[in-house]
Amino acid sequence: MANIISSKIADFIVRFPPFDSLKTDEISSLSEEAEVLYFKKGESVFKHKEKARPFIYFLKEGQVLLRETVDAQKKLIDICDEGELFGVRAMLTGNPYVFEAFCQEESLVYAFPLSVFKPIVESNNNVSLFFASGLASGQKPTGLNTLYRQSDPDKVSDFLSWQKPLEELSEPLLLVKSNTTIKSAALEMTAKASNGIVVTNEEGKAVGIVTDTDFRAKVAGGTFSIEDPVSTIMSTNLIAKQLGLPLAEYLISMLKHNIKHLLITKEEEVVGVFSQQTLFSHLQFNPFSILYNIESAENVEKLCFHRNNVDHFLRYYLEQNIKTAVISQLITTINDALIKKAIQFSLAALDEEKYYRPDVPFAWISLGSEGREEQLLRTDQDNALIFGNVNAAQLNYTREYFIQLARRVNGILFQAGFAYCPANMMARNPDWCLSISEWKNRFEGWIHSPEKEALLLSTIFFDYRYIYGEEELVQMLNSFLKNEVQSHKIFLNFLAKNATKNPAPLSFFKNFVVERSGVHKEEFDLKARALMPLTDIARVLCLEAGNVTIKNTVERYRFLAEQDKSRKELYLQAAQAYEFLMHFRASEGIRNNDSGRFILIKQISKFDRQVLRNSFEPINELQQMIELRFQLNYFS
Amino acid sequence: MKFNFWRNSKKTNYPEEITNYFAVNKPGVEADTSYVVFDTESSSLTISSAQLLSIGAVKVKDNSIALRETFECFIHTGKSGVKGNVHIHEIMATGKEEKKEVKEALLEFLDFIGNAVLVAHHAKHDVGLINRYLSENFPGVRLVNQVIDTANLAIENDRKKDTSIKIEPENYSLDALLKRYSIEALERHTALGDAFSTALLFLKMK
Repeated sequence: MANIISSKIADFIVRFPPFDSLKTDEISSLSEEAEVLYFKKGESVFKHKEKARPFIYFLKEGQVLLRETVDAQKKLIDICDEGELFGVRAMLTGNPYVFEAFCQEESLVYAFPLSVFKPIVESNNNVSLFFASGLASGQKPTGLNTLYRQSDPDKVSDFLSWQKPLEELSEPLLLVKSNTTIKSAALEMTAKASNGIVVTNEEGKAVGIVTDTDFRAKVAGGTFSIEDPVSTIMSTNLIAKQLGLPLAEYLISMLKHNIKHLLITKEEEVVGVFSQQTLFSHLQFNPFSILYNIESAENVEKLCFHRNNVDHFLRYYLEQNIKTAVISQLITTINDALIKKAIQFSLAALDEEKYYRPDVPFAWISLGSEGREEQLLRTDQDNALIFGNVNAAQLNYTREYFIQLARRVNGILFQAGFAYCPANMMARNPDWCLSISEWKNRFEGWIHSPEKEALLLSTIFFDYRYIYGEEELVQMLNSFLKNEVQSHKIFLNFLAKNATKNPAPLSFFKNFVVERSGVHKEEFDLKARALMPLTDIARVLCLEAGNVTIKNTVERYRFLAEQDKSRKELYLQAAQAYEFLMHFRASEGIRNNDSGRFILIKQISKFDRQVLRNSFEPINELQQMIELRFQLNYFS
Repeated sequence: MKFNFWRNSKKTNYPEEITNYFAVNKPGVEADTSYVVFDTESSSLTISSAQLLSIGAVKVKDNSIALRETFECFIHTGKSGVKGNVHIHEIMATGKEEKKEVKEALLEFLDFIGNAVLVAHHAKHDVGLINRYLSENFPGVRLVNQVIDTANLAIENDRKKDTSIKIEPENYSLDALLKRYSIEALERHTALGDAFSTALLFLKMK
């Protein structure tokens, strides 16, 4: 019978999950059968190895620590706060308690008999999911929020140091009189490895500035002779700024006056020149400076050095919960710049080595996650090369040249931290360094006979994206792919089948589908179980819709949402889920210093588990949808 | 309710509940390890004239209060509404509570408490009132259980800490103690609500 006590308990518990999704009569029967337990500070609700009691516990007031005894040491597993359930594992398994529930403060605990609770868990989907997601206490409290506490605060804040004052100039001040010849000014600059020189008049007052650009534009262009006085090529648009201002101020000045160099003064004296390039090097962890530095890197070493700074801002951006789409855009832009630069260096190296450059256009393409613009962490390289059609006689040499080119590019990318693809899906592989006709033949072969291998290759290669060279080659491939798929729709059924081979991880009681064997035992394969199904489904649906140009998974779902209004909600959910999963993977990867692919379930916080689980939901729905749409039940 | 008058030669006319109550309270019977924390609501603080309106009780065993074993009983006064008593109005207003004749309520209460130790706040009043009703309805019957008064318990606890402490009665009202022990009062001035709050207080103090 309901009474004042049980109705108060009901009122209280209904505010917390999973009780908030229970029916009123379920709440009543639970609260009427509840026991109210009081524990003094230092007492235990249950102890390690004690036989499981037929109750599930809810902390009403106080604080309970779940602890494990490892080598006689108490190890904290989780802190249970007010409104949380504990004793879940023993409830689910009936095994003795794995942890001790220790009252850190005096605590009031509601104990609900399993005889009432279990039938509710089993009959109410929401409650089942609650436990499947592992939201109840008993797991280690880690995850996005605690993750970054250990990170070095200096490093994290450093790259956003626009407010950092400019304390000294790295380059010595070079002064020349205005009647000095251009030639001797240039020699002086080269000798001192300076990129700016201040020109003074008879009184020693600064009247102008000469930089590399001036030599290039005005002298090398033939406008002036190297014997002319330096004053003829100097810029007179002089802006002076004091030493010691925040870096941001110098940048604003440069932008406002559209100049790349500032005169730096100290107590009215000119002490040097501050260039935009130097400014950016002070802001080495800023994505735009990294991009700038990569684009202006003069050798491979510098290129790699600047690419390494990406991880610093990636960590910070993830921590700040900046949208994954924004972060991956930045990373993609930077990676693309890196690849372009690597190609330019390699082309120059081949020229230097006197390789004859075939007179045929080529295009460098990125594949897989890089093609989809979904790289956050550095992963293996996946790339290929397309060159224009040449006659049979030239084919061998042409291929050889581009393989030489690709070898160098792949090598530079390797130096920059992008591991070689273990399956050798790289442009240096003769299989993936093909003429446009050969590419078409390849694609045709996969589409016409979709064997297992062909399907695997399709999922990687059909996400190609133009990076460098002649874009028209890529456009030709686009229209070919589109026509082929449209005229061989059966291929999509195979591709769809492939997209459903990893079922969404929803199974209850096992929490997640964890890998059962191998080095990743007890871990969850985030890539295979969650990210890949979403990517694969997006691809097959976009190909079906005749869109071969969008490669990004989130963009693909957005496109699909526009196309098919009746499933808009589902597609947008999928897009959101994908973004979260990407973010989660990158955070895990940074934390564990790996690819983030395998997640140790025990280490995920309750919150993350819940969100993770939510993001699995659209996978399940999409897979069911795909099965119906492509009639996969009748298809093998 | 069964009446087995013929079975009990010594104390005839007592219903079974009372004979059972006497039986379990006989010396030598294994004492119940649980406590019954109870509270009464009445129309006044004067035992001799107060009208018993309701009894609420919970069982405390070890550190646990089981909601399956609670006792709540509203007593039919025969003149509900006439006196304009707030409590009666409240009880009636909810409409749910079925009222019982006082005899029935007392017997059920005795059955509930058995030989458990009784706990109440300012127990003198509650025990006294129940005893008055018992003797009016079942002459010769009174509560024989050991009684703990949470107000006294609080005073003793304080004296243990500081022997020279000056006891101010207002510091030992139920409200004051609930506040001191940071117990969120369930619903004051309902017998069961107060019994529950008193039980928590007792658990924290014992």
